[in-house]
Amino acid sequence: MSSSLSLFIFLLLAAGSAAAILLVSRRVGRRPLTAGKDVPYECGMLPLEKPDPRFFVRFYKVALLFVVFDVEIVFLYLWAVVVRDLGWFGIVEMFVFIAVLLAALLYVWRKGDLEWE
Amino acid sequence: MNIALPEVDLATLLPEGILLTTAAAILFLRGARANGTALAAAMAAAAVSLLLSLFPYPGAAGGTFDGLVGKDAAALLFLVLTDLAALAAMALSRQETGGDENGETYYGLVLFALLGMHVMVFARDLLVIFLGMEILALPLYVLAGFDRGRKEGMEGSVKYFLLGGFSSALFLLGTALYYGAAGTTGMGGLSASPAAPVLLAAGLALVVAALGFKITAVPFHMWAPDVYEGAPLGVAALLSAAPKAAAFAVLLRIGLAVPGAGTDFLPWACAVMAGASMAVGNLAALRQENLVRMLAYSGVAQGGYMLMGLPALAGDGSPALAFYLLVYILMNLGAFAVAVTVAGGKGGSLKIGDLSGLASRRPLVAFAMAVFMVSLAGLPPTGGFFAKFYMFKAALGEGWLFLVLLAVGMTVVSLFYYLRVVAVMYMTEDKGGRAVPAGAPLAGGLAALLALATLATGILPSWIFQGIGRVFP
Repeated sequence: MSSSLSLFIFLLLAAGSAAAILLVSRRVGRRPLTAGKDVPYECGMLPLEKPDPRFFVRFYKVALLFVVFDVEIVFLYLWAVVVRDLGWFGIVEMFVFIAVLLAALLYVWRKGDLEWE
Repeated sequence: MNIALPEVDLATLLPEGILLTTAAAILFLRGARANGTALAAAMAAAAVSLLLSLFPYPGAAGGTFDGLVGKDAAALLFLVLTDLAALAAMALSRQETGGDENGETYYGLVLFALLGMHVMVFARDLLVIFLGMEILALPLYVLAGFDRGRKEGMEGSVKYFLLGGFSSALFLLGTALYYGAAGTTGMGGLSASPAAPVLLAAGLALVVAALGFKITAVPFHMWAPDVYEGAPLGVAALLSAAPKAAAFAVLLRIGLAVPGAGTDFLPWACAVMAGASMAVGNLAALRQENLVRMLAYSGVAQGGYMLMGLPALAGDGSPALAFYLLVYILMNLGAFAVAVTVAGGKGGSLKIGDLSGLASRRPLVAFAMAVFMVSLAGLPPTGGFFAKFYMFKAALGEGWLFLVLLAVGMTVVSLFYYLRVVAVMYMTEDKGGRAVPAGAPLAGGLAALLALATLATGILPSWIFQGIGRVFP
């Protein structure tokens, strides 16, 4: 119980100090807020552009396809280690898995999403 | 090294295999007739799946994958309910997908969602249930925004995606806590006095909250009106019924599987959600001018009535819940079918006022709508009356008097907005503003069929109720 009590006290202190800092800066801080006060202070570069630029949607498609086959490789490595012990069950199972992924690739191909233009 | 292979019995999963292969095949369709072919194939697959669960073949029930998956009679019943809802929702979608170049994708996605619901219903393990929830949710996110031309559709889809992702996170955290307390993610094998009842309770509370999103129980109902309004009407119809059936199947399984310390809060949690859903759903529905939003809030309220079955599990709660679900699917999808018939491309922005004078323009459609509204309000001689009757009786039998009183009070409130629709149809002059859309024969036929079924459940309630009751041990 004592460890969870100390954790509780820690949480209280953390929340309390966070609230205190906000309150103090609100009380003591000088108004008005000028534009200069909005820039990051000693902790990074000046922002050059908005943080949410638009990405080309094709990158997402490529990334998605990459993840699919990346994950396939992850499974294949593990499978390759134990394929002897798994026997026929393992071989059939893995080929079913690959076939499912292949179906997805065929679908993408058919929809023309492998073309860059 | 010796690896224990899972025991696999694919015969049990035959309906799911049919759904999966049909859904995948539909995605490859192409050409001018792809849309109609996809609709026919998807409906055939769902119908076959429904029949395979309704009239189980040898080996249809059973456990496989080392107990992760198990179909018992109750699971088969819920599979029938989800299939029924999906089948009706697809029949409503003909208009929505007519002009869309990717119309066939729509039906493939509905089948994938149906597959997810199947997995939820027969899963015996929280992680497999999660898998089912995700298979259900991902196609629905896309379907909710299928109408890309409508701003409301995009908005609803994004809202649904964010809140759905949130509920998935809740479910996973709950599963983790449950695992910490019980040492397993399976539903069975919980000891009556677990080592960490508080942890178990917290885990189950999170799981129930995540399922609350699916059944739009207050306070997890916020997304429903916006998503229904923005989605194609067929998707709104699907959303309003099928995921609820699947989530209730999971809730029943949880409720039946884990009695004992650390879970004794569940009946109360469900009772509170039930009461809040009835109150908020009905009171909010009173103020709606948009028909689809009204139906969304009405669905929240109906979910509240159904939740009453869970605190009464020791009594007749489970059959009452299943019977209510059956009637709810019939009458709610019927109401959506009428909406599709009169919407004429207006989709989710259909106003209640648009129904004015419908009785003189299309008397049969108006009569069907009147049946659905009377049934949703819970008046005899429709199935809605007996659904409420059995539910209230089951809750009373377990001593939830105040909950039943609240439900009766809220039913009276609901009369106002349900019967207002009837009044608008029968007692207002047709202003002649909008031409009656011709066509939509599939939706019109479905409305007629569902109206008959709603009346039939009101004429033969005890026969159906007893049939459902035999399913539950």
